[in-house]
Amino acid sequence: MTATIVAQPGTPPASPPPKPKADPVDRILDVGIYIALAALVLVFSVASPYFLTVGNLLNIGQAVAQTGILAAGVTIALIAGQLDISFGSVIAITAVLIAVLTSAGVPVAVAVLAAVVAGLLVGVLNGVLIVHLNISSIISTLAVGTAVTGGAYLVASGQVVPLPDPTVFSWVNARILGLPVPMLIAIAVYVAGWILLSKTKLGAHIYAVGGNSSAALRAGIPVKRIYFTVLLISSGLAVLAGVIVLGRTGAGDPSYGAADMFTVLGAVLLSGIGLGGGTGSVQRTLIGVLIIGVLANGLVLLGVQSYYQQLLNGAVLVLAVVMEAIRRKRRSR
Amino acid sequence: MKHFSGLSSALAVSATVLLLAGCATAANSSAEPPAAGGSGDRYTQDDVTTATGIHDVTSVFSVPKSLPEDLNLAYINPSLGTPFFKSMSDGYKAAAEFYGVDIHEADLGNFNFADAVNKYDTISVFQPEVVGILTPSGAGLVDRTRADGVKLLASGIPIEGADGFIGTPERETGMLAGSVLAEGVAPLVDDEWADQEVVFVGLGQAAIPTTMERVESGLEGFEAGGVEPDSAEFPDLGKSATVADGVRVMADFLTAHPEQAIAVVAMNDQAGVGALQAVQAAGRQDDVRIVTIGADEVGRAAFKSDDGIILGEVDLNPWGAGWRWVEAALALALDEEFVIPAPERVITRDNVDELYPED
Repeated sequence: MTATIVAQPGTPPASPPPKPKADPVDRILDVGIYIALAALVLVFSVASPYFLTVGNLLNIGQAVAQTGILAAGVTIALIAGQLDISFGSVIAITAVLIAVLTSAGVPVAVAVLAAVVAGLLVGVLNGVLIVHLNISSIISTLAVGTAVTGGAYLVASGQVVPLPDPTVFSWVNARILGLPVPMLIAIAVYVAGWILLSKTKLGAHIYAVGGNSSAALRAGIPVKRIYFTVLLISSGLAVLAGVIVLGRTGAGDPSYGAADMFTVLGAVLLSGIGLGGGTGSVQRTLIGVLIIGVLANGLVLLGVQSYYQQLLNGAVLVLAVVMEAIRRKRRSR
Repeated sequence: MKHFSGLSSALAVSATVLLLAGCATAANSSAEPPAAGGSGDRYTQDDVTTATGIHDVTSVFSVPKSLPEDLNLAYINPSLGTPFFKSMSDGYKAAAEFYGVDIHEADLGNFNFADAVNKYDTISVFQPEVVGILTPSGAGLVDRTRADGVKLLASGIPIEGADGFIGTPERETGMLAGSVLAEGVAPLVDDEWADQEVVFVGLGQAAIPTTMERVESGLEGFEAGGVEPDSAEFPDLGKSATVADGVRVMADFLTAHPEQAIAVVAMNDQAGVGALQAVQAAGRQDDVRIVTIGADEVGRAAFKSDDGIILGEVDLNPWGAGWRWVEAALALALDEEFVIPAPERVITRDNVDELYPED
């Protein structure tokens, strides 16, 4: 996770490393999450008459939107080799800043702008610590996130701050063509993420930097700029998630985001992206997000005690980590 | 490797297969509680007393024996991992079974209030008549339930715009706790604590005003009980008010007040038990007395085993609170009124075994 960059001028530029050809076992490992998602959908469909209804599927889409948006940002940063775990704090500061400022009579647009600036500053600060001070991204973003969460509590005076006029953010709870707005936003984020990573030069650079930062630098890729870019993308998407949470709850609470750590990292790790960088895709992360969302929804519908839900969520995460370990071990052979 | 890939999906599938109190609603405070005896088409207080056994629930609404078919309720529990809310869960499930209605439950985990609307969306497929929740940020839920035509019965913390509220009257609860504390501390002030400054400590959560009202009223009750502290402080327990939070806050407080005598009203049992542990760890048993509010299993266990530092526990009867939520929800569903008496039962060393013999 440390951004150690050794410049070796004169080395000819190189294209991103070609993807290794997967053997059958890797292919099976790769499709495992699709099978798991399909199996969960099948089981819940049989077990609950409510599960496979349009209304419930849209509920799942709405519920996973926030996790999905956050996970997309974390995925992009992780592909570049940087694990950003400050997203929860960005949600908190976003929701709290907007609620506090609008309560103080500041126009909504200005309050939202302030929240965007604050969120992006978190990304910048992460970048400075990681790129210029060479501190591990886990440590940097954990430290920055902790400080920002403290800042959110300070701004809110430790209180839950209701929006003076929740209708301003009622668009978050609206539906367009029957689809929940947060779900549509999440879909847009994933389409943009897919295009970014697979169709643009920046996307190729992100993979290259995550795969081998030294080689990428030798190839003329602006590694530091890539790191800053992915961290800003991650923070920016966390701001977006913060606005959605604010609209959904009608209040800014400095504790928002604290519980997202498991679900977001779980979804990302479930996709098989690993922590090494250079691999992964937002499409696979989306499947991870859906698995966790379907699991949460289906178990409530079945009336399963929440302790078992937590147990299962943990088991899924362990499974994801084990699968990644196997994959990594196979690659290292 | 194929084995592990298959295992991943198999595990996911098999796992899922295997795991297949004082004030009433804003509009309902004038209703009379159920009559004590008699029979007829409604359950009486005697019926409820018999049904609730040692939990000794005071009914808040005389529920009709014949309820509309398919009437069902939902409750979004803030934290089933917290003993108080687990007991409450057991209580509302028992009441639902007794009255013959379905109740669907969702859990916010560890007070993850940001997820409340999502949890509501999930259980809304059951089309409950009334949904309950304890949350400090319920505005979004008000909009969602209203759009669905579902009644929102706030629990514990009032929600502006909700259809009703049922919970503990914080002021009366705090006053009662403070008076119990004063009764136990007064003899000490005249004797062992005569040369010490007396500090009143209210352990609450700054982010949740109702908890602060509870412990601030504790000071009021303490003073009304005849003890005038030299100072009063209200350290913040933080987000979840767990035992660990109580230990942390009280340990720091004891360090900062090495010479003083300290009288504590804790907003819940967890904070009180945490404070007790901090006192024991610091060896300050002679300097501190505590009254907790709640009387859940954790609180009662600590009370029974400690050496006199906890003077008493105001019994909010969490199991009963769950039962009463169902009664209030049924009243709301039927457009009728309900009432709740203020808590008046205090657990002391004299009555704890009698009130909770199964502990």
